[in-house]
Amino acid sequence: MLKEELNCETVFTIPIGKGIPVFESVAVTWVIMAVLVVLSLILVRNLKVENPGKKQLLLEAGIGALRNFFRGILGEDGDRYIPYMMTVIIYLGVSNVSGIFGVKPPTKDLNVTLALAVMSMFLIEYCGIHKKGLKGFFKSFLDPIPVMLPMNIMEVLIRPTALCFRLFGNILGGFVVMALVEFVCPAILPIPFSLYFDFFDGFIQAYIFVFLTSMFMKETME
Amino acid sequence: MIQINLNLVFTIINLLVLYILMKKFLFGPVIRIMDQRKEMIDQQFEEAKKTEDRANQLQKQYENALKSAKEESYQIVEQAKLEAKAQAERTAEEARVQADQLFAKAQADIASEREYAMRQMQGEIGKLAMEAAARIVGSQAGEEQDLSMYDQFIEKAGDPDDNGSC
Repeated sequence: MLKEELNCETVFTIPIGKGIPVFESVAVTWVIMAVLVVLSLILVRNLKVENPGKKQLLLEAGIGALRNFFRGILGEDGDRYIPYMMTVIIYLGVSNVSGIFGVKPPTKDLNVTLALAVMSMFLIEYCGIHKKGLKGFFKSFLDPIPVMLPMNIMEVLIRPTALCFRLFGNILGGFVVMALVEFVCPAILPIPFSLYFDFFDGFIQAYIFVFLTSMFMKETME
Repeated sequence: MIQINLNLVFTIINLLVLYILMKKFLFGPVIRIMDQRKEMIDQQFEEAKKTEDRANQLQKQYENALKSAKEESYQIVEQAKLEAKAQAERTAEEARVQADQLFAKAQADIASEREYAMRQMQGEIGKLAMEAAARIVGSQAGEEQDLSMYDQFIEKAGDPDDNGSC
């Protein structure tokens, strides 16, 4: 039973060729996307420049805080990447916590964390190319001394791998512990564990993921 | 248990779609509103600053005007004083000049009067001298005449010896 929980179930199979399985993580991501879009549509309705309501103030405070956070790390040049980073932190936050709604968190699937890491990798390198130009970007691999070239090339792949497995491991570990606790004692006891593994660890991991990604971006831009 | 397959691609597509949707429906409008408000506040600040600057400028202007008015009034008073002084000096000078002129004229008059009197007196004296001279000359030349007159007188009056009783 526990083993079943750990597996990524195939929700349905697209009947092309041998059939492409669509995992639960992707389906849950669709649900999360739908919820986020509907919530945004509701929250963004009648925004006012003057005399904003409480709802709007809260929304602005949240987005303003995220924006300032990323701007603080990325600096002036990073303004164009802020919406993506905010999307990722919101998506990660919601999907890490989604365990409490009875679904398997999408981040428990390596495909999802790997996808996020691959996107981060492309973004990090794109940042460098956009900032320094192609020539300057390749030249930066010889910094600070040419001997570092292999290290720098390996770093391109190591950074996203570390990001990916950190997130995956934490969420999977949390999920496993939660499943065990629920198996042992399904009442009361899981509450503090859930608070820690679902909420605290979930948000911390989301935070770490975007924090490190933007740190790497900043590093590449320098 | 762990398998990496096409779901990775699905997730990437999902993320990109979510990014576009979030940007369009959440971050775009909210950030736009926030920027608009920021702009409005900045504008208001700027306007307030402008108004303050203008007020300060006006104050300075008025102060300057007041100061210049004071200075001007002081200058006017000073000039009036100077003018009055000059006027007084001029008047005094004129009076002195006039007095001098009068005095000189009077002196000249007196001198000419005296000369005239002298000249007259000289003329008189001359006449008198002439007269006296004439008289002297006349008495010398008129001895005979005197005699004749005398004779005439006697004739008219009779011989004193004849009628000495008168």
